[in-house]
Amino acid sequence: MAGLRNPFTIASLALATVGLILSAYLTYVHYNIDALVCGTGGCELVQTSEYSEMFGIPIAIFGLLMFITVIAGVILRERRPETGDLVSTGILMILLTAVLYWVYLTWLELNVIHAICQWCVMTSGATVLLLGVEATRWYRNYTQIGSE
Amino acid sequence: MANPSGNKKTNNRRKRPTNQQSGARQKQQRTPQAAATTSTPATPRASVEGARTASRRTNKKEIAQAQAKKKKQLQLIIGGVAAAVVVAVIVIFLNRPSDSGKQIDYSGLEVAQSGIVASQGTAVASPEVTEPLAFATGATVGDPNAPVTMHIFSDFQCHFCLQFHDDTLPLIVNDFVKTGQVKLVYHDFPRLGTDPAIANPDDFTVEIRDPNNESSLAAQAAMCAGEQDTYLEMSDKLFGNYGGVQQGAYKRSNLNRYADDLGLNMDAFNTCMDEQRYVPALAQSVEQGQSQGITATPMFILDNGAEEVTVIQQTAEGYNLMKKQIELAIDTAP
Repeated sequence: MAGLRNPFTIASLALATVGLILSAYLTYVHYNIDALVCGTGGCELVQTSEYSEMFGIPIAIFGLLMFITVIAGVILRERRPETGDLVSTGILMILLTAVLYWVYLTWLELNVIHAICQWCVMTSGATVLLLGVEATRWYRNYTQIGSE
Repeated sequence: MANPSGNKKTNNRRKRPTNQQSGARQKQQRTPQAAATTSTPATPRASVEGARTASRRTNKKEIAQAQAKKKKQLQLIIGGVAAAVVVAVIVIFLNRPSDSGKQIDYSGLEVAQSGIVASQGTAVASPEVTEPLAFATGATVGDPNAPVTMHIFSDFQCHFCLQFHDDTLPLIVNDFVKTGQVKLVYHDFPRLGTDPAIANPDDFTVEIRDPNNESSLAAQAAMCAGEQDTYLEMSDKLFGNYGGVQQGAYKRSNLNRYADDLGLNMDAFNTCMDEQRYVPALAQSVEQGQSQGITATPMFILDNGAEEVTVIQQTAEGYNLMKKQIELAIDTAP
């Protein structure tokens, strides 16, 4: 798959993998709170708050599914370039929704829960960077249409 | 040697013919050459023009296709962004914090206000109080004959206390208090931030150190509300407006607003707060709690009537462990 040597593809896969690992850890910790390692001191409070779940499902699981979807989408896009436009748009939609919700979660941490979870911050950071990479990739492709 | 149009140039070099020969040959040659001149020259120029026209048409077509593709991509991404924002807003709305905070369901339970507030006097604990746990600043909830009493020591500015109030307390009320197995006794233990007041354990005199300490102000508000049988409602209100430590959530103006929201008699409430009526009681609550092994908040004492009480606190295991500890206290009650 020659497309997997594309720097944008490599960056997206790397960031999504980091996010996947963090989300998997947070999912495990949600059900096994003793496994939580925290440097900020507020991880437990955040992870056990009512805002750690949405519709009864841990937020971490949503993150896990999101990163898996992004990885699958990136690979599909490389294997089947004809799906590029739709897949790229889909990935950007998912990432933008996640980033907006993570901004809200950060607001909750600061103003409602009054505690910061370092793992949540790292996961948010990976998502924001991933959005940046995908948005840049999209923009480059867009500006190159008709100039080849 | 090729000319620019790509046709091979006729070699004009030839042996100079004789006059007779040249005339005949020229005549002969003229005809084919004339024929060649009238038919061939038209083709190279037409080809050049045709190729140029075809190339222009192809370029225009490609440009149009590229523009159409760009437009389609732009429409797709704008639609995607709009959809993402709408989804995010909906999800955030569905998971927004509750404006009023967690309301504990005490319906059907017997509630007794603190004996200290009932007296409505400056509550200085009598040195004869031999059972410090009987000195409760907060309400008692549940069957008075329940085999286990769970004393709750809490600070309104403590975020783990907030978490206990929102996440664990409803479970305890549902599983144990409503079943008549446990009654709850609330003790205010304001000690976050600067020391609001300290009590001398020898003579129970009280030194007020920081009248603006919000842990103390909130606890005073709860006790003043208790005079009007609304200690529990004020507790829910205070936790519902949690704002961290000394961040203004429990400054006097906000406390007045919470009291007003609860429909309290504001004259009575203001008088109670202005007099700092319950500051001594709160200082003693802290001192006596400490004498019982309370060193942080929230902490709990399970008293099942046995000779010794059990001091427990919240752990990473949350309600799972606490439930077992309460069940043990129930099972081992004499």
